[in-house]
Amino acid sequence: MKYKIILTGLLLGFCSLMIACSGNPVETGATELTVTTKFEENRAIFNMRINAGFINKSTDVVVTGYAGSLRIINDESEKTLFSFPVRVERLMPMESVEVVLNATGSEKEFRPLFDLMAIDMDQVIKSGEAGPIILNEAYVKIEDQTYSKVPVVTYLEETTNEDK
Amino acid sequence: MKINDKRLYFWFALVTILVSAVFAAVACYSCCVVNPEIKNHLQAESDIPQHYREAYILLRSPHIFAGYDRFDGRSMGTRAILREFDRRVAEKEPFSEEHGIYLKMLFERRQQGTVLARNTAVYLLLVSLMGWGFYFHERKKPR
Repeated sequence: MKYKIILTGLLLGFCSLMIACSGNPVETGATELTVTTKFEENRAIFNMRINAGFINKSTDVVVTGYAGSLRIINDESEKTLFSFPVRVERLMPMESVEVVLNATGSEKEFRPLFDLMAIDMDQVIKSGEAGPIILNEAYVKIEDQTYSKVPVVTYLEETTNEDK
Repeated sequence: MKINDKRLYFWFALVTILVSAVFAAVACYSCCVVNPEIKNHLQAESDIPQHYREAYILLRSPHIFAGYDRFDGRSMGTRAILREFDRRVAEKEPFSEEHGIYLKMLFERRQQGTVLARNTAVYLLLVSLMGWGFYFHERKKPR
């Protein structure tokens, strides 16, 4: 009985340690959105520009080859309105990188986005621009993340050794 | 259940002296091996970019008592230094003499960590000695 308790404690401790060590160091910062309109053949064409911040929260790990997909979703229906592939070559510890994403589409494609953010589409067409708007965190989802983690000292040593 | 004081003192004294020995070993290694190496790099008079780069890589592996994972208001500057120097080494930008002051700040932090490790080891050693004192006193007591 006594050994079972000790063993369970050790196992739980080990699991907690593994969970703590395997956490995702990359977080998204504020996501800013700007929409501009132009007319082509009497039809409004919308161009969306997204500035998304990616932050490496870790103090001792370098994230390399970060890739994922940033989705703008309707938080209630969970429906994806826009999806963008994201790639960041390297994120040093505590570093933040801004990624610029663009999408162009018709009124039909942009209507759900404007409805979600309660923006008057006609007003945007008239003024020719909307934003910059900080997107609510609930509307932004990062999925399919892949990356490699390298201890910062190893990374810096490798960088230095490349010169030799 | 009657508590066996003798056994309690023995294990308490043993555990504290073992922990003290671990901290003393860490402090000694840092004080005798790592810190002098960093100091030599920082005091170099020729090939400063290379020496400062080496010193920074050594400093980037923090002392157990002066880690870089928690920053209070006073040490927020350290965070900025690490961010800038990490980038500098990764981008292979050379260090110059002006960077020496920031490297010395990181070195000072490391030295403080070493002192803290040494003081903790001494404190635990004293606590352990007290434990041994009680243990031997208890052993001498007539049953």
